[in-house]
Amino acid sequence: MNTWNELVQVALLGTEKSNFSPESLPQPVQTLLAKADRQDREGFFLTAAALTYQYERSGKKRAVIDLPALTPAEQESRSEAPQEAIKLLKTLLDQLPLNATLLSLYLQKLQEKGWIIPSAYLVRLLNVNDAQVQQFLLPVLGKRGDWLRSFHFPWQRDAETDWEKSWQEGKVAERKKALYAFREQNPTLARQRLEESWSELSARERKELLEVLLLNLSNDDEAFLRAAQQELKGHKPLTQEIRQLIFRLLTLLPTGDEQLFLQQNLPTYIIREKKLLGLISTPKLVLPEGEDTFFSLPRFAQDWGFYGQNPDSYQYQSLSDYWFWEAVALTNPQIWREALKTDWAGVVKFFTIENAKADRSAARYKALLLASVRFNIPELFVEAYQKGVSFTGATTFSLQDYQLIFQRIPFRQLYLQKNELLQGYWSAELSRHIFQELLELVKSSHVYVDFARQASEYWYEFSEAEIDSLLPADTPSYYRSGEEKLAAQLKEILSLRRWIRAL
Amino acid sequence: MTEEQVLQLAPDAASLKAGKALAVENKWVTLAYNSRVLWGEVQGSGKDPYRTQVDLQQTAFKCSCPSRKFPCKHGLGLLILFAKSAPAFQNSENEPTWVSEWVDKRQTKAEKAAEPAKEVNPEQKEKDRLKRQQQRYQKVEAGVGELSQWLRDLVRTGTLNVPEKGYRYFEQTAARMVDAQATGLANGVKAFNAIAYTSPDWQSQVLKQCSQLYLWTEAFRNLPELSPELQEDVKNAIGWGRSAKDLGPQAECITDDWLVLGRMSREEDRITVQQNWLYGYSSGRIALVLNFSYQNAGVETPLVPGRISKATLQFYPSAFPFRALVKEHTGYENRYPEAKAFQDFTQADTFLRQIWQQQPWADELPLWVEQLVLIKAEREWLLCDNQRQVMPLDPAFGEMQVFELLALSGGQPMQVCILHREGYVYPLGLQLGNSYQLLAV
Repeated sequence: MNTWNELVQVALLGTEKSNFSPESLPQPVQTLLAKADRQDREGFFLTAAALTYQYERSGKKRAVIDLPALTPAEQESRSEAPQEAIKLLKTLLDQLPLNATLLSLYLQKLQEKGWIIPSAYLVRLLNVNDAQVQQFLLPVLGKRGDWLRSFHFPWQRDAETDWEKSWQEGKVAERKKALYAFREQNPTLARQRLEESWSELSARERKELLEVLLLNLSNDDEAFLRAAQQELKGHKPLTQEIRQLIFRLLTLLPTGDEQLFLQQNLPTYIIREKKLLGLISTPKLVLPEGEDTFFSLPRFAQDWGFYGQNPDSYQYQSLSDYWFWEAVALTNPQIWREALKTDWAGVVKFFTIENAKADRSAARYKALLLASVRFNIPELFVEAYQKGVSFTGATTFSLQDYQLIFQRIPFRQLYLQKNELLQGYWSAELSRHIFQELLELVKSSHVYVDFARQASEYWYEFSEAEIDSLLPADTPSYYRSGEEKLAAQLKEILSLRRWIRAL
Repeated sequence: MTEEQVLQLAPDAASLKAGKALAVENKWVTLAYNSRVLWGEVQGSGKDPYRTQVDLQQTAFKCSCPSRKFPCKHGLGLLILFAKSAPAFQNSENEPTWVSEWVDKRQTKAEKAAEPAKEVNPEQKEKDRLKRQQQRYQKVEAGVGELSQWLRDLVRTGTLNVPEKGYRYFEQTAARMVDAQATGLANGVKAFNAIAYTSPDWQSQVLKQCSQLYLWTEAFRNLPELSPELQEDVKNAIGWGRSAKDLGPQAECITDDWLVLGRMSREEDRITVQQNWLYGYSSGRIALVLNFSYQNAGVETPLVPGRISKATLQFYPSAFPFRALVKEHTGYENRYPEAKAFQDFTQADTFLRQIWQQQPWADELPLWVEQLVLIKAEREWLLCDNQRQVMPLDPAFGEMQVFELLALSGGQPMQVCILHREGYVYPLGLQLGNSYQLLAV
């Protein structure tokens, strides 16, 4: 034990209980301490401690270590990106939020030019949490970047081993990501993994991980879902959410009994109303005021996990109205074309205009849109979406809803039905159309500004003046900031894209 | 000024984010500059555009926006934009009135400050000063006596139960030191609350803090026997504030090209204390310039981390003159010569020992050391010199900063400026070719 530690021990017990002897102190400290008053026991001890601390600090020898030095990075044969390219990189990295599409385009350009990322930007880029960026970053990291990756595990991950680790050791969000990755590669294996750990999962984890089964859902999943459904007990809110989720999954099985059951029952609520002495018959949606044999509390609330009360009387006329639209969102919309003998525009019109008051149309649009996504009918989506946005207040989808939509229908495909998609980028007409759609959308939420960024790669090369000319002149001032933000965003995207191309 | 240097001026992360977002040409109605000032007009939420100006000689900001942050997002945005895209600015000698009025006023003020102050009844002033000094001295003396007894009681009964004493125990003693106008001692007592009592060496830290405080109290009791410089150091440690007014004409001044090695800010009772460490290329001197601001008010200083200031620093009297203030700032230098660095930790330690002989409390000193490499011992990163001597990195120096250092060096030996802190080193920056690469703080 060294001198300082001896002093620490004395201090811990206190000078009244432990004896302090200065004789063990280094000679120079003792010499100076000789001037202090020994009778003042505490003062003497504190002086000794102060002197010893200074003495040890001043005489401290640095530790000498025999560890091998790091092997330096290999000499680079390619040249670093030139000043102009660095300046652009800085601008791209400073974008908030980061535009991963443009950054990916930039990295591809560097690769094309044979340049590598300068050392000062390696860490920042390796930390960009975007799979596409990381994919394009690897070829331009250079030898130093490759060397640097070896020091930090998350930078060296190879997809398979990493997902395995995330699944085994990660928190629920990481496990969910891993399960998505498994599900993408091998849906059966992913379900088996979930099945294996099912009994150990908490209710919240079960709910989170079950959602993953929506991806590549197939009849093979049915047995597991039914077993999980049987196992559910009680009606706590979280259990109800799981129950509803399982029901949704069962309904979406390609040849599931639930889907068939809904398809058989829902159209029965459309009756034919005869007019003009029976010469004309028009369809009409007639839902029961209370419960009936189909719309029953035991079925919808206890078995399927929906609310047992109308959750929003503004959106839904009655409890059966709420259940109906929840069911419509889960049912293949083809049944409506057959039942109504009309096209998709007619279906949308029937449900949202002819059989609903305008203020109750939002839930209907949403159900039709979700059904269109779930059963992959972009034509219906486009109809419902375009008509939907023409009603103020009707597009109240959450960002999560949009994410779901875009998982199935890429943003650009929304317009494929009526517009032409040119190779590589959008035509002027298409870009103008989308921009105008977005101008409408930003009135309800600035979140939609982000869509301009999503499509960074596709926009037509408008000039700034052209973009300004697309802005409506008569917008009330409270909507203007959203429009201006969107226009500024597009201008910036186009200017950066030009800059990347010019490198 | 580079963009990285401008980013260092942001008062907080939110201002930085907003400033970056404003560093886009099309957001500005006007953009112009000349050799002394940079100005622009930007449309904000108000009816009229905000008028933003930056004094390029002293790096000072003014904006007509209502923000209380300093510099505001407009000032930062304007300067970031200038750093990254100067051609977007019109070079104009015709300053608008709102620009010239401000810059002229600043110049007049600077000239006036340089003039010697007119003394009004110097005899009376001196008499008042001595009276105030005497009163304060008596108050501090009483506080020092009380603290000395408090420390004795602590070591007499033992430090074993210090962790159980609780926050209030130390805060109350600290409050009594504040009443005694000994804020340095108060901070020293508050430091007991900052000790991690779950760490294995808390016992050592407690004794170190006790002995350090005791050293101050004893030094104060023996004040008349100390050299005038050391007296100043003791008084400063105890809590006598130092201001520019206290610096007489005899204060040491050094004109040099001062590299701002790094900057850190900390909060102390709603006061932001900004520390700037400097290195003088010709003199080889190191210096610490402190700036203070209340809450988020921001600090006006011409010093820019990573940049060389052509300036005269005035040093406060001390046995080891280190703390200084910027007496005169004449501009910036863009050429980065190589600093005189210690060859290894042994040389650096010799230098530290010389300082501690003169001033035992000196800490947080910046040192240039050559040929340092990073090595990893189990989970800890160390800086290793060419004699295989190692120093652990300050835990506050994060893992990503270690990777930055690795990326910049590629594993090759580098000349690093380290901040020496009680057993650890914190790399502030490194010499990279003909430039100084500041490490993110």
